[in-house]
Amino acid sequence: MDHKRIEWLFFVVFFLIDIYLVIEILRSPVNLSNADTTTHSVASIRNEMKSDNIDLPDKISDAPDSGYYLATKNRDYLSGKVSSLTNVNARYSKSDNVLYGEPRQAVLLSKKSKEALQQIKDFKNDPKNVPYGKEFKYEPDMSSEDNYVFVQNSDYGEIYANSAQLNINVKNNQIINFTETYMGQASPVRELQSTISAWRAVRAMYTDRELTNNSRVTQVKLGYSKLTEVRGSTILLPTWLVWVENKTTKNITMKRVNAYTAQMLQSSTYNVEK
Amino acid sequence: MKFKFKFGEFFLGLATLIVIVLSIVLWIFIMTSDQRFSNIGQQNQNNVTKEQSRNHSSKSLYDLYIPTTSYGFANGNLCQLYDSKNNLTLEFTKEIKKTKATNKIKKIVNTRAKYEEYLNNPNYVQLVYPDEITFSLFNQLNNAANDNREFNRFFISQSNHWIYLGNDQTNEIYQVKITGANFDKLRKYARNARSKYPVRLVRLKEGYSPFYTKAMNARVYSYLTNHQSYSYFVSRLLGTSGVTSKTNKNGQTVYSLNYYTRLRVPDSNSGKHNYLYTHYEKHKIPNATNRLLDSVYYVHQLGLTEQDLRFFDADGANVSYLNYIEGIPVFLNKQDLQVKTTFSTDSINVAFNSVNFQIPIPFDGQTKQLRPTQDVVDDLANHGLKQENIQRIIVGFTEEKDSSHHSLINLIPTYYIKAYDEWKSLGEWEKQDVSTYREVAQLTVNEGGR
Repeated sequence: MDHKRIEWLFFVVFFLIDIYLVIEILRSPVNLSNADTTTHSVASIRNEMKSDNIDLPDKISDAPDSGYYLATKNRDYLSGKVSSLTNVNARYSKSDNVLYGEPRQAVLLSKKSKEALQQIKDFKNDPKNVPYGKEFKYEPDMSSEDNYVFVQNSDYGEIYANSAQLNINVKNNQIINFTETYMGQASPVRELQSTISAWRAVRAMYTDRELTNNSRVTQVKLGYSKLTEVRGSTILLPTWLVWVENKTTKNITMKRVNAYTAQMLQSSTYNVEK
Repeated sequence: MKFKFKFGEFFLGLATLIVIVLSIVLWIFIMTSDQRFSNIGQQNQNNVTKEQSRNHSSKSLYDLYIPTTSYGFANGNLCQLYDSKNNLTLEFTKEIKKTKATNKIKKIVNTRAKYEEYLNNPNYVQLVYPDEITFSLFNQLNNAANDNREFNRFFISQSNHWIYLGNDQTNEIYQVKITGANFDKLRKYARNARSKYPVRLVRLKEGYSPFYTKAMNARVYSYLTNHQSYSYFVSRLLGTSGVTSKTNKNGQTVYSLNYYTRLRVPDSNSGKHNYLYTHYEKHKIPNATNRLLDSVYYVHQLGLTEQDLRFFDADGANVSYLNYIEGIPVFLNKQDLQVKTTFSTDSINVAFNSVNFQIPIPFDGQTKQLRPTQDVVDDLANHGLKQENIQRIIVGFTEEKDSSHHSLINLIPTYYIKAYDEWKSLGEWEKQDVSTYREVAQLTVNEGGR
């Protein structure tokens, strides 16, 4: 009788095991790599941003762009120019490579912003005021009412670096002073290469948690940023510059994304004071 | 002793035996099911399928499959063109992305004489891949998804409505009517290219190779390099939590994800950076198009910096990729390829090197003189490697460590020759006993003939 019971027990246990195994076989394995997953996630990433209260500009290009690795020679470009600045009182700080200038005579500006901007451009284009002034381009996204920011331009695009910038300070419709840094002529180190698109840069920022909730992307531009210094040269690379506004504090920060690899450039944020 | 046969007991015994055997069979079935395990394995592979890789990352596909060399005419001579400011192959790729074929592909040439007429026709700018790719790789040029016909050369005519695709191996040229492309800028860049090296295209075993007619001073470039850590690749290829075992052999560590996926990691003290990823899966070897596309999927999976990575060679079941710097491929450790995918009926192997050419160093004027190609080929013939055994000859970079900085390398231009299915630098071939290769090749031919 015991033998029969054991047999029944074996039969029931193995029968249940069989049922379990058959169910395991029939149930298709959990396939997380469903063909629609990524396509879906790409499409829904905008919705995710929306639900995180992140606003994007109406148009962000999805087309790849192109850029170079550039190099500039590390030299003291501005110190020798001080003597030629006859319209301004200028001094050069060798320790931080900055030229400081103050107009000798008051430069009055129009109250109309467009005209005032043109007057400031005329001022910086005069080599008696600002050395290499014509090589600087007005950057409205970094400027404020009393601080006009110009970035160094090159044949290959604008350079967004503290060492390639002209700041003209204005008070009571008058140019008060300016500071200038200059990197010299940039030349390509390697051939022209394709970059990621502006949209892909913003997406990379979002997935890297560099875009916080409740923020607004106000501007995306391709520009050159400093990568490193090597063998007496500064190497620049194309970066997507993304201006992000905090909706609560209204603070604007500029962040940089490596346009070749979609990686964030660390310690490269720039706060814009409006 | 009285034997008493009872049906109930008999059937109970039989049924118990059957359920026990069945459970063993089912268990074995589950444990040996390829499909089951390969699917489970993929859960850790960043949830990206090969299909997605094809559809989703068309930008990356184009970046990997950019033609690497351009030819045009200057003063009546065929020249290899190069311009770092106006990158010809990039300009071509920008336009070809927008192009759509409006009719079927029509074969217009199939003889060597006629093919060579096209090669030497000054009306065409030629954009060339290092090896053949298939028509189906770029869908907009061909509506038939399974067209495995191959080509390696674009002929850009004076018209923006016709494009010609040539196959060096078969001497075939196909004509395709297109819309949406404007190659005017490309033609202008070709006319004004900064470097124009006179070449003649010489037919070798695997197609036409450029023979430089004059000695040239090729630039030596330098890079600061870096390497991703082994944990980066383990995590990308095997997932963060799925690694089931780790074995150490001859200093190399093998990480496994279930029985089917493995990654062999080099010894961190050896200074080597060669990895081998293996995924066991029983299937047929994919066709030519799928081999190319699947290899792209695996390249993306590796997570290497792909900025300079280009398709380099498709040889039987192998597809390989190299970094191209200023239009010249970089061979690692003298003759290694950056990524080499090998398809077989029971596994896919991806051998790769983790080096990343991170920061380019400004050119300091250093050059290396390269002799005319024919002189090199003649010297090799004297050494025993005859021209008819050379499959391809190209100029490539060999890497050399710079003593001034531990991660600084110099890229020295030299001739690279493919013979007996092996890529080696000129210096390496000159060190080889070529007769051994000849004997092995002869033996293979004889065995194949039996």
